[in-house]
Amino acid sequence: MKGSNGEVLFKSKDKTSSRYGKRPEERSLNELLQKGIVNIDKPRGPTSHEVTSWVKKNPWYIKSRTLRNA
Amino acid sequence: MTSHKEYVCTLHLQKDIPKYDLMRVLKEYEGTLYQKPPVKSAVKRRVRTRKIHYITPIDIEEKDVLMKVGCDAGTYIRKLCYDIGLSLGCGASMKELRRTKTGVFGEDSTIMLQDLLDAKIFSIEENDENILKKYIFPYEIVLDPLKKIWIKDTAVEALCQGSMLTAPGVSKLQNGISKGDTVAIMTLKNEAVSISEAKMSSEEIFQKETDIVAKPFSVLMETGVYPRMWN
Repeated sequence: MKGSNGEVLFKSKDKTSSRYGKRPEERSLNELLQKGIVNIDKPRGPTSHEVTSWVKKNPWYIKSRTLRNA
Repeated sequence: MTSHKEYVCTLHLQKDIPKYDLMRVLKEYEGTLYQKPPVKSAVKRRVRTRKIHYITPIDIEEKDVLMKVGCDAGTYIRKLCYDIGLSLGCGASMKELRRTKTGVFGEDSTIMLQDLLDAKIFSIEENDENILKKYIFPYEIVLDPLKKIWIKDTAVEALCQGSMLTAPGVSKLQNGISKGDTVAIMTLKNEAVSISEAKMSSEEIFQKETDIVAKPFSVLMETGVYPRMWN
C-alpha cells in the first residue's frame, strides 16, 4: 500500500441505497438551514456573537453549532 | 490545534524607521514565537508558542505599515505588533485589523449582512429558494481539512446513536491516517456522520476485519435517517 496522502483505499465495494439520506448538494433550503454554513463578512463594531444572534433571530432560523476539533 | 488564520492589519510605528530595518525585523518574526495572552483574554495567561507562517508588507505610508499575516489559531496580532515595535526600538501598535482567512474560508465566499437579508427577501418575493441557497454551504465543507472514512449504509444509524466505528463498517478510507488523528466519518453519500478520533492507522483499518476503528467526540447526523440494522 503506497501512494500520496489522501488517496482513497477501497476496503469493500458498497453501494448506497437511495432510500435513505441525501447528498449534501441536493439539500433543500430548509435542510440547508439545519445543516449549512453562511460565511458572513462581519462589519467593524458589532461582536461576532451579536452577528450570529441577529442571523439566528431571523424567522428562517439558521442553526449554528460548535464543531469541536474541526 | 485548530484552523490557520490570515489577517490584514495596520501596524502603527511611533517613529519613522528606515524601510530596510523594518523589512528585516518583519522577516525575523516569521517562524515560531512565544506569546503570553494579554490581561484581557478568554484563555489562561501562560506563555505559549504560536507559528507565524508569513508576514507580507503590502504598503508603507510614513508610520503606518499595511501587512498580511498568516498564523496559527490563537495568535494575538495586537501583541505581535507591540513586539515588533520593541524589536525596532521605537514602539508600535496595531491600528486596524481584519481577518481574511479562517481554515478553508476565504474572503471570496463571504456575504455582507445586508446582502444576506436582501437575498432572503428576494427569495420570498420571487418564490425561488435558490437565491438564498447560493450563500449557504453544506456544513460538510468545514470537514475538508480532515482525513475521511466512509462507512456502509448499515453502520450509519449505530454511529448516529453514538457507538464506535468498527472495522466491518468501513467501506473506504483516505490513506495517511495515523492513530490518534481527528477524522471525519462520512456516509457513502458524503454526508457527515461524526467527528472522531482514529484508533488505528489507515493501513490497519484497511487490513483488519475486527476491532474499534474510531471513537466519536461529536456526532453530527441525527438519528433515524438510516435504518437500524442491528438486533
